[in-house]
Amino acid sequence: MSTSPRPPGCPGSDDLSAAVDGSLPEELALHLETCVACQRDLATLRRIDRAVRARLAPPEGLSERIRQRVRESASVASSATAGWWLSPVVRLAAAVVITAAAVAVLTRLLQSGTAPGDNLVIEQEALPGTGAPTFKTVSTDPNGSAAEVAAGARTPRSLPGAVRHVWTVGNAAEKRDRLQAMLPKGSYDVGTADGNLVFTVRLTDRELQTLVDRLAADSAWQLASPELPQPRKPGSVALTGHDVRYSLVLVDSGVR
Amino acid sequence: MTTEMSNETASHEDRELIDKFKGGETWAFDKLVDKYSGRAYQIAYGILGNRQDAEEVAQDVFIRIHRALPKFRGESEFTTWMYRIAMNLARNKYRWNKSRGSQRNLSIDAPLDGTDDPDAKRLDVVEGRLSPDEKVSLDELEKRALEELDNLPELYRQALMLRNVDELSYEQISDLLGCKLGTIKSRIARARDELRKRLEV
Repeated sequence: MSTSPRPPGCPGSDDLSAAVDGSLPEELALHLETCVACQRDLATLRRIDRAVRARLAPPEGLSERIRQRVRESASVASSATAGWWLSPVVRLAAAVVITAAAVAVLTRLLQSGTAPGDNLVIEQEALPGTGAPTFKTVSTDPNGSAAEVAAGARTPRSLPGAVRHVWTVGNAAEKRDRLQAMLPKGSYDVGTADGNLVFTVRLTDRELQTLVDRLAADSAWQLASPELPQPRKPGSVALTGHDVRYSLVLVDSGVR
Repeated sequence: MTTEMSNETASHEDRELIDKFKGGETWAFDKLVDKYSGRAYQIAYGILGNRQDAEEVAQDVFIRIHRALPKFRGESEFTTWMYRIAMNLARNKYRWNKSRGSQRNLSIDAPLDGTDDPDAKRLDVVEGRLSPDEKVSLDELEKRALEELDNLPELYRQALMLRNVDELSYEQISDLLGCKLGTIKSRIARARDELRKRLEV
Protein backbone atom coordinates (compact mmCIF):
# COMPACT_ATOMS: atom_id res chain seq x y z
CA MET A 1 0.00 0.00 0.00
CA SER A 2 2.69 2.55 -0.87
CA THR A 3 2.33 5.84 -2.55
CA SER A 4 4.99 8.48 -3.01
CA PRO A 5 5.74 10.35 0.20
CA ARG A 6 4.29 13.80 0.54
CA PRO A 7 6.48 16.53 -0.90
CA PRO A 8 8.14 18.81 1.65
CA GLY A 9 6.04 21.86 2.32
CA CYS A 10 2.84 19.90 1.90
CA PRO A 11 0.91 19.31 5.09
CA GLY A 12 0.91 15.91 6.73
CA SER A 13 -2.16 13.74 7.16
CA ASP A 14 -2.92 15.22 10.60
CA ASP A 15 -3.14 18.72 9.17
CA LEU A 16 -5.21 17.63 6.20
CA SER A 17 -7.55 15.82 8.52
CA ALA A 18 -7.93 18.92 10.65
CA ALA A 19 -8.62 20.88 7.48
CA VAL A 20 -11.51 18.56 6.63
CA ASP A 21 -12.91 19.36 10.05
CA GLY A 22 -12.75 23.05 9.30
CA SER A 23 -9.60 23.95 11.15
CA LEU A 24 -7.42 25.62 8.53
CA PRO A 25 -4.49 27.67 9.79
CA GLU A 26 -3.42 30.53 7.58
CA GLU A 27 -0.19 29.03 6.23
CA LEU A 28 -2.05 25.92 5.18
CA ALA A 29 -4.74 27.98 3.49
CA LEU A 30 -2.04 29.81 1.55
CA HIS A 31 -0.36 26.56 0.57
CA LEU A 32 -3.62 25.17 -0.70
CA GLU A 33 -4.11 28.11 -3.01
CA THR A 34 -1.21 26.96 -5.16
CA CYS A 35 -0.73 23.25 -4.48
CA VAL A 36 -2.85 21.17 -6.81
CA ALA A 37 -1.90 17.88 -5.19
CA CYS A 38 -3.11 19.04 -1.79
CA GLN A 39 -6.28 20.49 -3.23
CA ARG A 40 -7.01 17.15 -4.77
CA ASP A 41 -6.22 15.25 -1.59
CA LEU A 42 -8.39 17.51 0.52
CA ALA A 43 -11.23 17.10 -1.95
CA THR A 44 -10.88 13.32 -1.71
CA LEU A 45 -10.99 13.45 2.07
CA ARG A 46 -14.13 15.53 1.96
CA ARG A 47 -15.79 13.06 -0.37
CA ILE A 48 -14.84 10.22 1.93
CA ASP A 49 -16.60 12.01 4.75
CA ARG A 50 -19.59 12.58 2.53
CA ALA A 51 -19.79 8.87 1.81
CA VAL A 52 -19.50 8.04 5.50
CA ARG A 53 -22.32 10.43 6.32
CA ALA A 54 -24.47 8.82 3.64
CA ARG A 55 -23.79 5.42 5.18
CA LEU A 56 -24.75 6.79 8.60
CA ALA A 57 -28.08 8.20 7.43
CA PRO A 58 -30.83 6.89 9.72
CA PRO A 59 -33.49 4.73 8.04
CA GLU A 60 -36.91 6.09 7.15
CA GLY A 61 -39.44 6.00 9.93
CA LEU A 62 -36.90 5.35 12.66
CA SER A 63 -38.36 7.89 15.01
CA GLU A 64 -41.93 6.60 14.63
CA ARG A 65 -40.84 3.04 15.23
CA ILE A 66 -38.91 4.02 18.33
CA ARG A 67 -41.84 5.99 19.72
CA GLN A 68 -44.06 2.99 19.15
CA ARG A 69 -41.62 0.64 20.88
CA VAL A 70 -41.33 2.96 23.86
CA ARG A 71 -45.11 3.08 24.16
CA GLU A 72 -45.33 -0.71 24.03
CA SER A 73 -42.59 -1.19 26.54
CA ALA A 74 -44.08 1.40 28.88
CA SER A 75 -47.47 -0.31 28.84
CA VAL A 76 -46.00 -3.75 29.49
CA ALA A 77 -43.85 -2.37 32.28
CA SER A 78 -46.76 -0.66 33.97
CA SER A 79 -49.02 -3.66 33.64
CA ALA A 80 -46.40 -6.00 35.02
CA THR A 81 -45.57 -3.91 38.03
CA ALA A 82 -48.90 -2.36 38.88
CA GLY A 83 -50.93 -5.37 38.14
CA TRP A 84 -51.74 -7.38 35.12
CA TRP A 85 -55.03 -5.59 34.63
CA LEU A 86 -53.91 -2.17 33.53
CA SER A 87 -52.82 -2.74 29.93
CA PRO A 88 -55.88 -2.20 27.69
CA VAL A 89 -55.06 -5.14 25.44
CA VAL A 90 -54.77 -7.45 28.40
CA ARG A 91 -57.88 -6.12 30.05
CA LEU A 92 -60.03 -7.13 27.13
CA ALA A 93 -58.45 -10.55 26.89
CA ALA A 94 -58.67 -10.98 30.63
CA ALA A 95 -62.28 -9.92 30.62
CA VAL A 96 -63.17 -12.70 28.23
CA VAL A 97 -61.05 -15.26 30.01
CA ILE A 98 -62.11 -14.44 33.53
CA THR A 99 -65.72 -14.38 32.59
CA ALA A 100 -65.32 -17.86 31.19
CA ALA A 101 -63.37 -18.96 34.23
CA ALA A 102 -65.93 -17.53 36.60
CA VAL A 103 -68.64 -19.36 34.75
CA ALA A 104 -66.64 -22.58 35.01
CA VAL A 105 -66.15 -22.16 38.74
CA LEU A 106 -69.78 -21.30 39.25
CA THR A 107 -70.87 -24.32 37.27
CA ARG A 108 -68.64 -26.56 39.33
CA LEU A 109 -70.00 -25.13 42.52
CA LEU A 110 -73.55 -25.40 41.40
CA GLN A 111 -73.03 -28.98 40.42
CA SER A 112 -71.50 -29.78 43.80
CA GLY A 113 -74.54 -28.39 45.50
CA THR A 114 -72.93 -25.37 47.00
CA ALA A 115 -74.88 -22.23 46.65
CA PRO A 116 -73.05 -19.42 44.96
CA GLY A 117 -72.22 -16.74 47.44
CA ASP A 118 -71.24 -19.19 50.16
CA ASN A 119 -67.67 -19.61 49.04
CA LEU A 120 -67.40 -17.08 46.33
CA VAL A 121 -67.47 -13.37 46.28
CA ILE A 122 -68.21 -12.25 42.80
CA GLU A 123 -67.89 -8.61 41.98
CA GLN A 124 -68.84 -7.24 38.67
CA GLU A 125 -66.87 -4.21 37.73
CA ALA A 126 -66.29 -2.35 34.56
CA LEU A 127 -62.60 -1.62 34.12
CA PRO A 128 -62.01 2.00 33.25
CA GLY A 129 -61.49 2.59 29.58
CA THR A 130 -62.80 -0.66 28.22
CA GLY A 131 -66.42 -0.51 29.26
CA ALA A 132 -66.33 -4.30 29.37
CA PRO A 133 -67.60 -5.75 32.62
CA THR A 134 -65.46 -8.40 34.23
CA PHE A 135 -66.01 -10.80 37.01
CA LYS A 136 -63.51 -10.55 39.76
CA THR A 137 -63.62 -13.64 41.89
CA VAL A 138 -62.16 -14.45 45.21
CA SER A 139 -62.73 -18.01 46.25
CA THR A 140 -61.74 -20.69 48.66
CA ASP A 141 -62.18 -23.29 45.98
CA PRO A 142 -59.84 -26.15 46.87
CA ASN A 143 -59.30 -26.83 43.19
CA GLY A 144 -57.54 -23.56 42.78
CA SER A 145 -58.96 -20.09 42.58
CA ALA A 146 -60.66 -18.79 39.51
CA ALA A 147 -57.93 -16.21 39.22
CA GLU A 148 -55.35 -18.95 38.82
CA VAL A 149 -57.45 -20.64 36.20
CA ALA A 150 -57.74 -17.36 34.41
CA ALA A 151 -53.99 -16.72 34.64
CA GLY A 152 -53.23 -20.00 33.00
CA ALA A 153 -55.30 -19.03 30.02
CA ARG A 154 -53.59 -15.65 29.61
CA THR A 155 -52.96 -14.44 26.06
CA PRO A 156 -49.24 -14.87 25.26
CA ARG A 157 -47.28 -11.62 25.25
CA SER A 158 -43.92 -11.06 23.66
CA LEU A 159 -41.19 -9.87 25.99
CA PRO A 160 -40.02 -6.27 26.03
CA GLY A 161 -36.47 -5.36 25.08
CA ALA A 162 -35.39 -5.38 28.71
CA VAL A 163 -36.47 -7.53 31.63
CA ARG A 164 -35.44 -7.15 35.22
CA HIS A 165 -35.87 -9.93 37.75
CA VAL A 166 -35.05 -10.06 41.43
CA TRP A 167 -34.08 -13.50 42.66
CA THR A 168 -33.75 -14.37 46.32
CA VAL A 169 -31.09 -16.96 46.98
CA GLY A 170 -29.59 -18.59 50.03
CA ASN A 171 -26.00 -17.76 49.29
CA ALA A 172 -25.48 -15.07 46.73
CA ALA A 173 -21.75 -15.59 46.27
CA GLU A 174 -22.21 -19.25 45.55
CA LYS A 175 -25.09 -18.56 43.20
CA ARG A 176 -23.04 -15.94 41.41
CA ASP A 177 -20.45 -18.61 40.65
CA ARG A 178 -23.10 -20.96 39.41
CA LEU A 179 -24.59 -18.33 37.17
CA GLN A 180 -21.21 -17.41 35.76
CA ALA A 181 -20.66 -21.04 34.89
CA MET A 182 -23.97 -21.12 33.04
CA LEU A 183 -23.41 -18.05 30.90
CA PRO A 184 -20.95 -17.81 28.01
CA LYS A 185 -17.75 -16.02 28.96
CA GLY A 186 -17.72 -12.34 28.17
CA SER A 187 -21.41 -12.28 27.40
CA TYR A 188 -22.52 -10.68 30.61
CA ASP A 189 -21.70 -7.82 32.95
CA VAL A 190 -21.72 -8.02 36.71
CA GLY A 191 -22.36 -4.98 38.79
CA THR A 192 -23.93 -4.08 42.09
CA ALA A 193 -27.00 -2.13 43.04
CA ASP A 194 -27.92 -1.37 46.64
CA GLY A 195 -25.46 -4.01 47.78
CA ASN A 196 -26.91 -6.73 45.58
CA LEU A 197 -25.16 -8.39 42.67
CA VAL A 198 -26.70 -7.57 39.32
CA PHE A 199 -26.00 -9.63 36.22
CA THR A 200 -26.78 -8.06 32.89
CA VAL A 201 -26.85 -10.38 29.92
CA ARG A 202 -28.34 -10.28 26.47
CA LEU A 203 -30.26 -13.38 25.45
CA THR A 204 -32.95 -14.34 23.02
CA ASP A 205 -36.39 -14.59 24.60
CA ARG A 206 -36.26 -18.38 24.22
CA GLU A 207 -32.95 -18.60 26.03
CA LEU A 208 -34.27 -16.36 28.76
CA GLN A 209 -37.33 -18.54 29.32
CA THR A 210 -35.06 -21.58 29.56
CA LEU A 211 -32.75 -19.82 31.99
CA VAL A 212 -35.65 -18.78 34.20
CA ASP A 213 -37.06 -22.30 34.14
CA ARG A 214 -33.71 -23.82 35.07
CA LEU A 215 -33.04 -21.41 37.89
CA ALA A 216 -36.52 -21.79 39.33
CA ALA A 217 -36.21 -25.58 39.24
CA ASP A 218 -33.52 -25.22 41.88
CA SER A 219 -35.31 -24.71 45.19
CA ALA A 220 -32.51 -22.44 46.36
CA TRP A 221 -33.62 -19.79 43.81
CA GLN A 222 -36.83 -17.86 44.38
CA LEU A 223 -38.07 -15.46 41.73
CA ALA A 224 -39.44 -12.45 43.53
CA SER A 225 -40.54 -10.42 40.51
CA PRO A 226 -43.83 -10.86 38.69
CA GLU A 227 -42.64 -9.75 35.24
CA LEU A 228 -42.57 -12.20 32.37
CA PRO A 229 -41.06 -14.63 31.74
CA GLN A 230 -42.22 -16.62 34.70
CA PRO A 231 -41.00 -20.17 35.30
CA ARG A 232 -42.97 -23.13 34.01
CA LYS A 233 -45.65 -21.05 32.35
CA PRO A 234 -45.49 -22.24 28.75
CA GLY A 235 -47.84 -20.26 26.60
CA SER A 236 -47.61 -17.10 28.67
CA VAL A 237 -44.81 -15.71 26.51
CA ALA A 238 -44.94 -15.39 22.73
CA LEU A 239 -41.42 -16.44 21.80
CA THR A 240 -40.11 -14.69 18.72
CA GLY A 241 -36.37 -15.21 19.04
CA HIS A 242 -35.70 -11.54 19.60
CA ASP A 243 -32.99 -10.30 21.93
CA VAL A 244 -33.78 -9.31 25.48
CA ARG A 245 -31.48 -7.52 27.84
CA TYR A 246 -31.90 -9.39 31.12
CA SER A 247 -30.99 -7.87 34.47
CA LEU A 248 -30.81 -10.46 37.18
CA VAL A 249 -30.59 -9.09 40.72
CA LEU A 250 -29.29 -11.57 43.28
CA VAL A 251 -30.59 -10.87 46.76
CA ASP A 252 -29.03 -12.87 49.53
CA SER A 253 -31.73 -14.05 51.92
CA GLY A 254 -29.15 -14.91 54.54
CA VAL A 255 -30.51 -18.43 54.86
CA ARG A 256 -27.73 -21.00 54.50
CA MET B 1 -26.27 30.82 14.02
CA THR B 2 -22.86 29.77 15.36
CA THR B 3 -22.33 26.29 16.68
CA GLU B 4 -22.10 27.51 20.27
CA MET B 5 -25.37 29.35 20.02
CA SER B 6 -27.18 26.47 18.38
CA ASN B 7 -25.86 24.05 21.00
CA GLU B 8 -27.09 26.34 23.76
CA THR B 9 -30.48 26.65 22.14
CA ALA B 10 -30.73 22.89 21.72
CA SER B 11 -29.70 22.35 25.30
CA HIS B 12 -32.25 24.86 26.55
CA GLU B 13 -34.97 23.22 24.50
CA ASP B 14 -34.01 19.81 25.90
CA ARG B 15 -34.35 21.05 29.46
CA GLU B 16 -37.78 22.47 28.69
CA LEU B 17 -38.93 19.24 27.07
CA ILE B 18 -37.70 17.23 30.02
CA ASP B 19 -39.52 19.49 32.46
CA LYS B 20 -42.71 19.18 30.44
CA PHE B 21 -42.34 15.41 30.33
CA LYS B 22 -41.85 15.26 34.08
CA GLY B 23 -44.97 17.35 34.40
CA GLY B 24 -46.91 14.63 32.63
CA GLU B 25 -46.88 15.90 29.05
CA THR B 26 -46.03 12.75 27.13
CA TRP B 27 -45.75 14.53 23.78
CA ALA B 28 -42.55 16.11 25.09
CA PHE B 29 -40.89 12.71 25.09
CA ASP B 30 -41.97 12.14 21.51
CA LYS B 31 -40.25 15.38 20.60
CA LEU B 32 -37.04 14.22 22.24
CA VAL B 33 -37.23 11.01 20.25
CA ASP B 34 -37.77 12.93 17.02
CA LYS B 35 -34.85 15.15 17.82
CA TYR B 36 -32.33 12.52 18.80
CA SER B 37 -33.31 9.12 17.47
CA GLY B 38 -31.05 9.65 14.47
CA ARG B 39 -28.05 10.41 16.61
CA ALA B 40 -28.58 7.41 18.86
CA TYR B 41 -28.85 5.26 15.75
CA GLN B 42 -25.70 6.73 14.26
CA ILE B 43 -23.62 6.18 17.38
CA ALA B 44 -24.78 2.58 17.52
CA TYR B 45 -24.12 2.14 13.83
CA GLY B 46 -20.63 3.50 14.23
CA ILE B 47 -19.85 0.77 16.72
CA LEU B 48 -21.85 -2.11 15.25
CA GLY B 49 -21.73 -1.56 11.51
CA ASN B 50 -25.13 -3.00 10.71
CA ARG B 51 -28.49 -1.29 10.50
CA GLN B 52 -30.65 -3.84 12.28
CA ASP B 53 -28.52 -3.89 15.40
CA ALA B 54 -28.14 -0.13 15.31
CA GLU B 55 -31.90 0.33 15.21
CA GLU B 56 -32.48 -2.14 18.03
CA VAL B 57 -29.95 -0.33 20.17
CA ALA B 58 -31.55 3.01 19.35
CA GLN B 59 -34.89 1.62 20.51
CA ASP B 60 -33.35 0.32 23.73
CA VAL B 61 -31.71 3.68 24.34
CA PHE B 62 -35.05 5.45 24.36
CA ILE B 63 -36.81 2.73 26.31
CA ARG B 64 -34.16 3.16 28.96
CA ILE B 65 -34.33 6.93 28.80
CA HIS B 66 -38.09 6.82 29.13
CA ARG B 67 -37.80 4.81 32.34
CA ALA B 68 -35.01 6.90 33.83
CA LEU B 69 -36.03 10.38 32.70
CA PRO B 70 -38.34 11.07 35.66
CA LYS B 71 -35.23 10.83 37.86
CA PHE B 72 -32.92 12.77 35.54
CA ARG B 73 -31.69 15.77 37.46
CA GLY B 74 -30.12 17.62 34.57
CA GLU B 75 -26.68 17.89 36.12
CA SER B 76 -25.25 16.87 32.78
CA GLU B 77 -26.57 17.69 29.37
CA PHE B 78 -29.30 15.41 28.12
CA THR B 79 -27.24 14.71 25.03
CA THR B 80 -24.18 13.69 27.05
CA TRP B 81 -26.31 11.28 29.02
CA MET B 82 -28.03 9.94 25.93
CA TYR B 83 -24.75 9.46 24.04
CA ARG B 84 -23.31 7.48 26.92
CA ILE B 85 -26.33 5.20 27.08
CA ALA B 86 -26.12 4.65 23.34
CA MET B 87 -22.43 3.86 23.54
CA ASN B 88 -22.86 1.45 26.44
CA LEU B 89 -25.71 -0.42 24.83
CA ALA B 90 -23.90 -0.55 21.50
CA ARG B 91 -20.81 -1.93 23.16
CA ASN B 92 -22.82 -4.51 25.08
CA LYS B 93 -24.45 -5.68 21.91
CA TYR B 94 -21.12 -5.74 20.18
CA ARG B 95 -19.60 -7.92 22.90
CA TRP B 96 -22.64 -10.13 22.91
CA ASN B 97 -22.47 -10.62 19.14
CA LYS B 98 -18.81 -11.47 19.44
CA SER B 99 -19.29 -13.89 22.32
CA ARG B 100 -21.81 -15.86 20.36
CA GLY B 101 -19.42 -16.16 17.45
CA SER B 102 -21.80 -13.99 15.54
CA GLN B 103 -20.69 -12.53 12.28
CA ARG B 104 -22.93 -9.56 12.65
CA ASN B 105 -20.22 -7.22 13.91
CA LEU B 106 -18.40 -5.58 11.12
CA SER B 107 -14.85 -6.31 12.11
CA ILE B 108 -11.74 -7.29 10.28
CA ASP B 109 -8.48 -7.84 12.09
CA ALA B 110 -6.32 -6.42 9.35
CA PRO B 111 -3.31 -4.32 10.22
CA LEU B 112 -3.44 -0.81 8.86
CA ASP B 113 -0.33 -1.14 6.72
CA GLY B 114 -2.03 -3.72 4.57
CA THR B 115 0.32 -6.65 5.09
CA ASP B 116 -1.50 -9.91 4.85
CA ASP B 117 -2.04 -11.52 8.19
CA PRO B 118 -2.85 -15.18 7.59
CA ASP B 119 -4.47 -15.42 10.99
CA ALA B 120 -6.78 -12.51 10.45
CA LYS B 121 -10.33 -13.68 10.18
CA ARG B 122 -12.30 -12.02 7.52
CA LEU B 123 -15.78 -12.20 8.95
CA ASP B 124 -18.68 -12.21 6.61
CA VAL B 125 -20.04 -8.78 6.41
CA VAL B 126 -23.72 -8.14 6.88
CA GLU B 127 -23.56 -4.81 5.14
CA GLY B 128 -20.70 -4.51 2.72
CA ARG B 129 -23.14 -3.95 -0.08
CA LEU B 130 -24.44 -0.55 -0.92
CA SER B 131 -28.01 0.29 -0.10
CA PRO B 132 -30.28 1.35 -2.98
CA ASP B 133 -30.07 4.88 -1.67
CA GLU B 134 -26.30 4.85 -1.71
CA LYS B 135 -26.17 3.44 -5.22
CA VAL B 136 -28.22 6.35 -6.45
CA SER B 137 -26.75 9.23 -4.51
CA LEU B 138 -23.04 8.43 -4.42
CA ASP B 139 -20.53 8.60 -7.24
CA GLU B 140 -17.97 5.90 -8.04
CA LEU B 141 -15.28 7.24 -5.78
CA GLU B 142 -17.64 7.51 -2.85
CA LYS B 143 -18.92 3.99 -3.42
CA ARG B 144 -15.39 2.67 -3.41
CA ALA B 145 -14.73 4.69 -0.28
CA LEU B 146 -17.51 2.79 1.49
CA GLU B 147 -16.13 -0.54 0.40
CA GLU B 148 -12.72 0.41 1.68
CA LEU B 149 -14.27 1.75 4.87
CA ASP B 150 -15.52 -1.73 5.63
CA ASN B 151 -11.98 -2.99 5.20
CA LEU B 152 -10.47 -0.63 7.73
CA PRO B 153 -9.49 -2.04 11.10
CA GLU B 154 -12.23 -1.51 13.59
CA LEU B 155 -10.70 1.22 15.75
CA TYR B 156 -10.09 3.42 12.73
CA ARG B 157 -13.43 2.75 11.16
CA GLN B 158 -15.30 3.46 14.39
CA ALA B 159 -13.42 6.70 15.02
CA LEU B 160 -14.08 7.99 11.50
CA MET B 161 -17.74 7.02 11.66
CA LEU B 162 -18.26 8.71 15.01
CA ARG B 163 -16.61 11.85 13.67
CA ASN B 164 -19.36 11.95 11.07
CA VAL B 165 -22.22 11.55 13.51
CA ASP B 166 -24.22 14.77 13.56
CA GLU B 167 -22.90 17.31 16.00
CA LEU B 168 -20.48 14.96 17.71
CA SER B 169 -17.33 16.86 18.63
CA TYR B 170 -13.83 15.47 19.05
CA GLU B 171 -14.17 16.02 22.78
CA GLN B 172 -17.40 14.04 22.93
CA ILE B 173 -15.92 11.22 20.88
CA SER B 174 -12.87 10.97 23.09
CA ASP B 175 -15.12 10.99 26.14
CA LEU B 176 -17.33 8.25 24.74
CA LEU B 177 -14.48 6.06 23.55
CA GLY B 178 -12.50 6.67 26.71
CA CYS B 179 -9.41 7.79 24.78
CA LYS B 180 -7.31 10.91 24.83
CA LEU B 181 -8.26 13.67 22.46
CA GLY B 182 -4.92 13.38 20.64
CA THR B 183 -5.42 9.66 20.15
CA ILE B 184 -8.80 10.21 18.56
CA LYS B 185 -7.58 12.97 16.27
CA SER B 186 -4.70 10.84 15.16
CA ARG B 187 -6.89 7.79 14.60
CA ILE B 188 -9.27 9.78 12.46
CA ALA B 189 -6.41 11.32 10.51
CA ARG B 190 -4.91 7.92 9.84
CA ALA B 191 -8.24 6.47 8.82
CA ARG B 192 -8.73 9.27 6.33
CA ASP B 193 -5.20 9.04 5.07
CA GLU B 194 -5.41 5.30 4.57
CA LEU B 195 -8.70 5.52 2.73
CA ARG B 196 -7.34 8.26 0.52
CA LYS B 197 -4.34 6.15 -0.38
CA ARG B 198 -6.44 3.10 -1.15
CA LEU B 199 -8.68 5.14 -3.39
CA GLU B 200 -5.76 6.34 -5.46
CA VAL B 201 -5.15 2.90 -6.93
